[in-house]
Amino acid sequence: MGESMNIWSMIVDATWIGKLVMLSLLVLSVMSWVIIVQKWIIIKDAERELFNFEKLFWSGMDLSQLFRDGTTKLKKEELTIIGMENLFRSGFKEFTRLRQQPGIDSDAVMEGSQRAMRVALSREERVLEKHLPILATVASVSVYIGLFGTVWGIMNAFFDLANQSQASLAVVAPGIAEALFATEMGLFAAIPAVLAFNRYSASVNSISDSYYTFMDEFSSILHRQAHSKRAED
Amino acid sequence: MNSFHPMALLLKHEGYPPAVVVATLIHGFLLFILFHNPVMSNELVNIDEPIYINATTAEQNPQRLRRIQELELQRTREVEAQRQRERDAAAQRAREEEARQQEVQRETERLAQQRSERELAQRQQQEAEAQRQALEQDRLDQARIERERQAQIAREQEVARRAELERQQALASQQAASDARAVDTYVAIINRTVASYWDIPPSARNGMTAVLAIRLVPTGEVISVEVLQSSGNAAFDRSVEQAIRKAERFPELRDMSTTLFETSFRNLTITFRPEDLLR
Repeated sequence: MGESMNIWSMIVDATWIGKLVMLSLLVLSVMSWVIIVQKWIIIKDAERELFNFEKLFWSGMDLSQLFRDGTTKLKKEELTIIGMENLFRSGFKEFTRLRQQPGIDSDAVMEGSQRAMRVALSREERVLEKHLPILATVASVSVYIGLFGTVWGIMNAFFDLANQSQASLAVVAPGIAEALFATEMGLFAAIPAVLAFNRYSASVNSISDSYYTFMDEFSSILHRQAHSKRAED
Repeated sequence: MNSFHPMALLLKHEGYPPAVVVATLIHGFLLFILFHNPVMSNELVNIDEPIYINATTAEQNPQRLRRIQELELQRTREVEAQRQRERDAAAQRAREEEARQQEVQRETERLAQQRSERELAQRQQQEAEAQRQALEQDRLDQARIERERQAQIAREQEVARRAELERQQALASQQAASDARAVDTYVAIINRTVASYWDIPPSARNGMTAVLAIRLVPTGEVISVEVLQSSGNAAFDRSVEQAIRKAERFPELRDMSTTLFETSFRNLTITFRPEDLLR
């Protein structure tokens, strides 16, 4: 092995199984970090939109005005409408569309708009939850891959030791260092993935809770409107 | 609300491009730290072992040490070869000298025979030879001169032989000196090998000396170890004995010349001191 012991020579001298383990752990780590950052951007954006739209919605603005504002925004900016505003738009669009049908029952109008909102909600949830299972998988599996690499490396080190006539620490030390490096990489991939998965699941839960609450509140507003309009007729 | 905000840039393509960039940066940074980690590089490893300062200075440059030893060995071998050549030349000269001497002796014998034949003829024809006696006398004189010349040659040869002998003696003493040096080198090698197998007993103190007799065979293998003179500390004696037994063989001794081995290494007596072994 020589007197100079560094990470690079350790990686180069590793067995091909060791190299495979290290490579797969590196890939998993990169993948989980891409997802961590991407989810962070998506969730932060959803939270911001949630806050802004809720403020706007409860400011006492006319609902049809709000819908029109959204339409112009959709035209003007390249941004797509996401989250709560999307729920509002699909529910409101369905509501007004059904309301224009002559002789339609107000319960049917409500049902239609609620269904439209549920569809939008499930779409939003899918966007939020996308890739979270990958984080969970990386979190649980990379530790085991690292452990596998370590056990393999230590096993090899002991085989080497058995083949030596004189047992000395210098014979097994590089092998064990290499083996432990696999565990280190596994932990490095797993720890952020676990943290991010827990954090993001909590965020996604709280955001979709807000969506459900909003959906109920908005339904009650629409319900009130539908029945008051019907009563006028 | 409808003003342009920084998130818009991040949100393009569902936020994947910035995510990939950030993940790559993180891993690049990690690899950078890993490859420039002072713990993993040599400097700190050496600083980490201050207890074995002696050991590190010796082992820091094992190649140099080995080279010195190799040079030493090579020099010894060269001196040996040179001496061998000289010995061969001397033997050659001696052989030639002997051949010449034999030649001279044969010549003498032949002359003597001729002379005796001539004397026989003289006795048979004493009267007839009376007139030739003067001539014969001359011949005899000549033979005497020849004998004297031969004696002179023999004396000169004797002187030359003595000078040669002296030269050889000088060479031998020179060889003894270089032999002593070679012995020192090999003993140092043995000491080093033993030291690498030596488990220091806690009771070993500087100033202890243990004299051990080691019996070796020309392949360098240890046949037996015996404590000749105890250091007074049984644990130290035992540890040295164990170290030699564990070493089993000193493969460097294989390169040694047979005579040197026979004179100094078949039954080797080495004095061990803890401070030697610690070095």
